[in-house]
Amino acid sequence: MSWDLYDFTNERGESVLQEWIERERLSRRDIGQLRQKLDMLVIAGPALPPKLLAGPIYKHIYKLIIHGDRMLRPFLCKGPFNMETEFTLLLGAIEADRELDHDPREAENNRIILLGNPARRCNHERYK
Amino acid sequence: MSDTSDALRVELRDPEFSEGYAESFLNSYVATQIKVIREQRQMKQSDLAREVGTTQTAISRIENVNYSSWNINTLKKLARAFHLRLMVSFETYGTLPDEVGKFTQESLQRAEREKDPGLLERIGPQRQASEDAMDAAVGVGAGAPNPWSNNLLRMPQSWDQAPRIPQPGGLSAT
Repeated sequence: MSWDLYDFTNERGESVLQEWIERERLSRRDIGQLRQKLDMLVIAGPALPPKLLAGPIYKHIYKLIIHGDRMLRPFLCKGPFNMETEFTLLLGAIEADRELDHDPREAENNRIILLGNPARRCNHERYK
Repeated sequence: MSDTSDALRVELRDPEFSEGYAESFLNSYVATQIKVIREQRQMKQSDLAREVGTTQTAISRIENVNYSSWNINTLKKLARAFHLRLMVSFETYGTLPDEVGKFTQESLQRAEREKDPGLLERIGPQRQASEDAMDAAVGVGAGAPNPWSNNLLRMPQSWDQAPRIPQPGGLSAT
């Protein structure tokens, strides 16, 4: 069974993850590693690949771990509408010197916004 | 799924993207297959650790899609513990989308040597006919299901029946 993936959107309806990738000018190599983890999540789900998801690190928030040129740590949650079949990417984050540049509480806040307004997410599309 | 494969096929034309993707997939593949085969053998991490002479913590570390520091010697020891061979092979990027698409528990499982269908003895048509005749003589097949009737592969009863493997310089006398 494959999983459905969504991206939290900003107020203009754009994926916050795509926006993050462009703002941080992530390398194509790092985007390749991120893409692989997301493909694996969609195809195999969270249970088959061991430790694909780390967490929950705060309430409902998990993170993906990407050891690339930069230590990408995108935050996501199961559901939040169907916990058995979907994930929503909530916020991009990067770790440096063991410190995250964003607090997982921000991701939890995005999740709460989404629960109140289901239109604040879009189908996940492959990042440019 | 084919949408993913088609999109990935295009993305993999980018050298940097393809290297990042393929290296991450390799780490995920190794970690997941070790876990899947260990569970297939009904082994705990501590059982596998004992077999390969390491610690449970080391097995836990290697069963992690984010781990990339394994080496060939460790993988060879794991292969031995699983009664499997290790294969290391260089591959083209074009084969990757299909591998990604069929990444399932079943596709990662491997039969141990003792149950390996590829090592079962192949029975020729002549011997099959004589065995069918023998089955008929003892009444198997007359209404009763014959568990062997469609089975053309059998393990040798003992190694004495296994074909001799020619050695350099001819077969040695036993």
